[in-house]
Amino acid sequence: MSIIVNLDVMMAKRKISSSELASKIDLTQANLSILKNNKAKAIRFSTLETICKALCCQPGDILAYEEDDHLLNK
Amino acid sequence: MIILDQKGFSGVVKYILDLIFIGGIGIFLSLPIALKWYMGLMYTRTSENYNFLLGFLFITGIFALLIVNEIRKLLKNLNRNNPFIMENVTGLNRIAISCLLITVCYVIKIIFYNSFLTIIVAMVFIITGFFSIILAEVFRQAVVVKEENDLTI
Repeated sequence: MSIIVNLDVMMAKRKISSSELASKIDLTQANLSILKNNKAKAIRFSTLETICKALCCQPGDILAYEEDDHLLNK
Repeated sequence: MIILDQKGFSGVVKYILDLIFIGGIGIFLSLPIALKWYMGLMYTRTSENYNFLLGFLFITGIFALLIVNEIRKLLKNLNRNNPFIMENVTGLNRIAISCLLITVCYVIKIIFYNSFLTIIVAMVFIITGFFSIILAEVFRQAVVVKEENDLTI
């Protein structure tokens, strides 16, 4: 996936643990770790909204676009 | 009435299928004696050959037991409220293959010993086989959608 989730970077900046964030945004720990480990296929706007609210940041601070290597090589 | 639950309708069907499976194994193992008894009882003027019928029933019996076993596995997964898994897709495909193989056996029987009921049974199995293939594909698509949904946070 060329969309990278930089949630752990933002969490480190805000000094918040994953269990704390999970309880704050009403998400299970399992789902949060799926999101953190880039395993998620999609993210709901409502989830993004609550994360941004909890971490006081913009969606761009959490998500980043990076071109795939194999696409560059073509 | 709850349909998909251990105590619901599917639980009852699973229980009935368990009994059918055990009974089926019993009939399958006692087939040489049971068939001789049955032919003496019912088919006093039959043209059907005992050895042919015995072989035919053994082959179709294996496939029929396989189908019942696969449906039991399917219902077990449904009772766990987890219907959309790849195991069910392969199970349905196995049911389809067994149904079509039974149809082949019945077509061979129609060639040698034709009867109206044999044609009806062959038709039922061919339709069940085709329907299972379609149902397996529906389940496969549902598995993909569920996976996508599970990974949407």
